[in-house]
Formats: sequence, structure tokens, C-alpha cells
Amino acid sequence: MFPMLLGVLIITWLLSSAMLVNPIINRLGMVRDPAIYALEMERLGLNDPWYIQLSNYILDFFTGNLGKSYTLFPDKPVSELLLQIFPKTIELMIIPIILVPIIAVKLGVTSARNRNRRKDILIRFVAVFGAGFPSFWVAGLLQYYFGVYLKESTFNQFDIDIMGANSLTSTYTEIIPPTYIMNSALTLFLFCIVGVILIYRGIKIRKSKTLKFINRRRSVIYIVLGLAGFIFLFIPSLIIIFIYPSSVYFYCITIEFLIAFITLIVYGLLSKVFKKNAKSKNILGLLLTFSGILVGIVGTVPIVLFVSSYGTQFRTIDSIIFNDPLFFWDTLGHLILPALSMTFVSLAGITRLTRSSMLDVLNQDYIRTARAKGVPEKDVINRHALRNALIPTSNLIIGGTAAALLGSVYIETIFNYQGFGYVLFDAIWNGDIPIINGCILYASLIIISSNLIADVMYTIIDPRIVYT
Amino acid sequence: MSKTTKSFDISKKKYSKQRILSLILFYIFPGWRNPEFSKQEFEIEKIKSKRRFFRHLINPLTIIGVLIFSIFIFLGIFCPWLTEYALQEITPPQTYVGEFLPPSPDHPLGTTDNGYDVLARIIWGSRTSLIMAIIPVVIAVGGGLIIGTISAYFGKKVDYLIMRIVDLVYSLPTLIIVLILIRMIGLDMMTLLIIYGSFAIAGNVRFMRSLVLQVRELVYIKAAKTGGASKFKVMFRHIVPNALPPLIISFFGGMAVTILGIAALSFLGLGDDKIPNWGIDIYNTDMYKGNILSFIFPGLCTALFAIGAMLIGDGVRDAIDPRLKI
Repeated sequence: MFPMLLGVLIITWLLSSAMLVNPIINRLGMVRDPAIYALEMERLGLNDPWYIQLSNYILDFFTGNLGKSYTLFPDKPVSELLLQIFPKTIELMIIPIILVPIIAVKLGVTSARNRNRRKDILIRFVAVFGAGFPSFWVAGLLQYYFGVYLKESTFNQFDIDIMGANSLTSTYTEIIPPTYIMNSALTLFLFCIVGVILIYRGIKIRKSKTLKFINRRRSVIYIVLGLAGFIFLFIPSLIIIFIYPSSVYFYCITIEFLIAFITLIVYGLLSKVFKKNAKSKNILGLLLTFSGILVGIVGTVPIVLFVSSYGTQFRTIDSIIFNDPLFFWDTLGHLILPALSMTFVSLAGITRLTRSSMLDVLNQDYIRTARAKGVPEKDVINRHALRNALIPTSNLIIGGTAAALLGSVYIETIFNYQGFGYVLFDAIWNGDIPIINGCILYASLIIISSNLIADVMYTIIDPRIVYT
Repeated sequence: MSKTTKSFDISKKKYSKQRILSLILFYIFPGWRNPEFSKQEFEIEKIKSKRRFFRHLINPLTIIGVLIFSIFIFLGIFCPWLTEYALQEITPPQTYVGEFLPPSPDHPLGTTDNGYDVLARIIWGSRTSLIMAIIPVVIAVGGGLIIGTISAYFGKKVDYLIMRIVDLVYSLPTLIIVLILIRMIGLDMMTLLIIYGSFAIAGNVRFMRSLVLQVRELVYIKAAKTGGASKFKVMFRHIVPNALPPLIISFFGGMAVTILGIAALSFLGLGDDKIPNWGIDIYNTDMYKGNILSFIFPGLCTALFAIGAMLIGDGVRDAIDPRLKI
């Protein structure tokens, strides 16, 4: 994964710097004075040889600096822009992400159950139509119908203002938290997830009938990890708190570190000392559960504090928090048509794949056995067949989710919705190299990590698969 | 095959009209069933016959696909005879009216916002879009065939290197890279097609590799090797023809994806407007004041073209092996 990331970094830099645009002329207009031009070149570091520029870019990335936007939003840090863009795209795409797999799997199953009958042919036809129609065309027709045709045919009685209310600057979500607070809030969020995992593990240990959770070989690893984290993470964060005046978030992160590492060390020590019996298993399970609950509580309190002061950056949620009903209904109204057209367009692939894998599974012997046993037809389909048929489909669902998180350039351009795709397209058009680099980097990070998640999910869903 | 000779004994009874008709149909249509075969013989025939492939192909959805596709091929070949307008009258330098006209006897679907006849542009555009669909797919499938075969046949280091490059291409967002490359090289139909095709190679490499890995271990490949055939002869004479049929699916599927992708690029303003092009018509339409028909019909044609290709691909997939997931 790491070499892939480096390759992506280098390729995006090479491509974007080889673009046939002159950013200086794009920003300043035609520069008559060569001295100003030279100054600007010097400021951007464009006079350096290419390898120094590239190494600067890569070093900047690993220190968390993505540069500043040059032409589109002059002098705005790219990481701040990404923080503004991503919630908007997620807000738009959350409806398709949830709705599409549910509807598509249902359609695929019904068409596989009545193979080659009228229902099946109808569903396949609809699925092919969904795949065949270009998304921007469907979106444009919807827009024309609701925005122009209905308005004209009802003599302005039915007038929805669909266009032009989605610009970046129209809201109070301009309150953007400072980057360090944002980062610490994200860390706390990660800790909350760790807490949930710990609680799950603890309950699992207590309920399990075998004694395999008391593993003496691994106990040394736990102790070493806990001690290392204690020395390298907890002590420096303590020092930072005492030297610099800091906020609630830093205190909470330090406490979280403390709880996590102490739990690791104690768990390791106990599993080394204890004998293998049911009582010690119960104690270990209780330890994990309680520390998970502690981590969860300490993590959620500052996040609630953060949300109440800065908002979540999601406009629908923010308008509820800050009590602005007009803005809420306005945003929701603007989300309906793009989300609908996105859903219709992305249904097709999953439906077709579910159908073909379901047909495969329904011919297997164990389905016949289940029917012969007298299992009701509903359970045969939902329990025995669908679970096996979903193995190839899950890959497509995760890939589709990752693609949806990056937004659709076409839908966002036609509805003038300034999400990820829209801003990226604008940046390419205007030759804003830092934004292009940052956006592509985040896009490929999401794609790479979704591939990783898909691989892990595969082993969970289908235990036969083993990656060596 | 000796069992099947019985069917001729049975069929000698009469030469009625019906029988002759069914025989003619049997010889004309590859998938036609001869009704006089007995049920048992029909079962044997079904397993052994090479016509099974075509019998699976005859399927209402596939027939619809072939019909749609052949209509567009017909339009593409005979477009100069089907419209009154010459190519010069509907492309930029000659007529520039600057405003649209509503539908009239002269212009059945009205004119675009630049003053070109919509119907004529659709008919001429079918020729363009045939070219637009075929060139990138030929590049993608051909490249995938060659690279995938080499990667799977040699294995080990070569395979590892090629698969890592393919992974890298997969992890880049393709559309955005294509946008940047077009901005880099400049707007031209051929370069756009070549870029688009060469990015689609990666998917075909994976598919072809998985096919060749199955074929490579078969006995007749070993026989060819021991017979003294050179590496490239083994690869492209023995392995490729046996792994070829599933590639037809990715050929048609790729056609559908490409035509949609290039229409989408044109919609973003990256199409070549010097030639009649459906995507450009959609891009140029002003939805509030202009002629909405020049938005609807080119989009409908794009969709139908893609649907036709997709239906043919699905039909071929069902006929070859319904378990193939592509």
C-alpha cells in the first residue's frame, strides 16, 4: 500500500505539472512587467529543478501540508478546502449509498427467482436501461421537467428554484475549525471506534466456550506494545500539555492514551499470570469491556463539545443544531433531484451481478437439500442462497461506495452543486495545480483503502478465502 | 454420432409443406430446432451439437440488441443518402445562424442553438459514434490481449511487475486523469480516443490473464511445447484462440462504456465540435430558452447505442458461460 501511495504521489505531480496551463497568467492576467512575473515564479518555486520541486512536494505531504490554492480560491489552504468539500459530497451521496444496495439486491433476487418469466425480462430491461442512459442526460431531463416544463405549463403556480443556491459561500458553515482542533477531534473519533471494538471483544471473550483467548505467547507482544506506546506517545503528550496552554481536546487525547496503554499492559500481564480456566476468562472479558466503555465516554464528550461549537460541516445536521428550519428545508429540497438521478443510474450494475450469482447458487445441491428438509421458501432464499450469492456482489458494493464518496462530476456540474467533483473539474479547467494534486491524492487514498477493506470483508464473509 | 442417424430414418416418411418449411428455417437460422427430432435424440443433440451456442443466443433481449445495433450501423453506412443536408452544412465553419428554430417541415426536429439541423446531425453522428466506439475498444482489447497473455504465460517476475502497474492504474481515478491529459495534449478526437482506449487496457489485462492461466495448464499446450514450438507460437497460436471467445463480451461491454464516457466528456465541454457529435449537441443546448429536442434526441441515441451493445454482450455472455463475471 505504501509504495502504491508513493507512486500515486509521483504520477499526480508529474501529470499536473506537465499540464499546458500557465498558473501565473491565470491568476494575474497578462503580466506586462517581467520583474513581477519573475517574482511570482520565485515565490512558487517554479525556478527550481524538477527533482527539488518533487521532493519538496512529497516532504510537504508527509508533514501534512498540501499547499495553498492558487487561482480558484486564492491563498486558501487546500486541506481546509477539502474539509469543506467532502461533507457536501457525502451529504449528497449518502442517500444513493444506502438506497442502492438495498433496492438492487432485492431486484436481483426477484429476477433470479422467476428466471425467463415476464418479471425477470422486465427487471433486466430496466437494469439495462439504467446502465445505458447517461447520468447527466437523466439528471438534465429531470431538471428540465421540474424546473422549466412544470413552471411553464402551470403558469408559474409550480415554481421550484432548483438552480444556483448551492455555492460554497452561501452558508454559515464558513465557521471552520482550526486544523489542529479538527485533527484532534478526528483522533478522538478513531478512539471511539477503538472503544466499540474493545467492548465487542470483551463480550465475545466472556461468552465464548473455549479458552483460546488466554494466549501466553502473545502476552509479551501486548506488554511491549503498551510500554512502547506509554513511553513514545503518552509522555510526550503530557509534556505538550504542561508546556503549552492547550484545549480540552488535548487533555482528552492524553487520557485516552493512558487508558488504552494501561489496558494493553494489564491484559498482557494478566494473561501471562492467569491459569486457563473460566474464571480468569471472565475477568479478562470484564477488563476489556470496562476499558472500552471508558474510552468511549472520554472520546464522545469532546466530540459533542466540538459539534456544538463548530458544527459538523454537514449542512442539514448543522441547520438542525443551530435551529434554522428555512435553511434546512432549502438544503433538503436541493438534495432530492441529484440524489434521485444518482440512485437510478447506479442501480444497474449491482442488480445484474446479484442476478447472475443468485442463479448460480440456486442450482447448487444444498439448496435442494434445504427445500427437501422442509425449510420455508423465504428462508431458503434469504438465509441459504442470498448469503452465498452476496460474496461477489460485496466487492462491487464497496467499490461503488468508494466511487460515490468521490462524487459524480456530471451530476454535480449539471445541478451546480459545489462538491468534490465540481471543484476538481473547476480546478483542472483553471489550472489550479495544488487543488488538483490534493484532490487526486485524497481520491486515490479512498480508492486504495476501499480495496483493502474489500479484501478484509472477503475473508469475513467467506472464510474459505485465505490471503498468503 | 452413430446414434443420431436414426433421426433420418424417421424423417423419411413424408415431404409435406411443413417439413420443407422447417428444413429451410433449419438451414437459414443457426439456432432453429427441428421439430421432428424425438425427445431423446433432441437431448443428445443438445449436448453434442455445436449449434448450442447459437440456440442460446436466440433470446428476445439479444434480438432487440442486434436490431438496435444494426439500425445504427445502417445509419452510419448510408448517412449521405438518408439526409438532405451535406456534412459541410451541419459543421461549424459554413452555416452559423446563431439562433434556434422550432420543428418545421424543413427541420423535423428543429435546429440546434447554432442553427444546424438536429435530425441531420443525429444521422451523421451515428457514423462518428461508430468510430468513437470501435477505436478505443480495439486498442483496449488488443492491448489487454497481448499484455495479459505475456504476463500470464511468463509468470513470476514479469507477471509481478505488470500486475503492480495495473494496480497503480486501477488506484488512479481514471476520468480525472483523462481530463488532465486532454488539457495537456490538446483537444482532438483521435488523441481523445487513444487516451481513453489506453486507460481501459488495465481491466482487460486482468481479465485476459485469468483466462490464460486456466488454459495454460491444459495437456495440448504441453504437447505443443514438447513438439518444439517457440514461445510466441505457443502463446498466440495455441493459447490465445482458446481463450478468445470470452473477450467478445468485453468487446461489446467496452463499446457501451466508451460511448457513454466520451459523450460525458463532450458534455463537460471536452468534445470535438468540428464533427457531428451527439455529446456536443447536448452540451450546446440551452435548456431554458433553446430547443429542448436537441437535448433529448441525441441523448436518447447515445443511450440506445449503449443499450444495444450491452444487450449483445449480455447475450454472448449467457451463451458462452453464464458464470463469467464481467
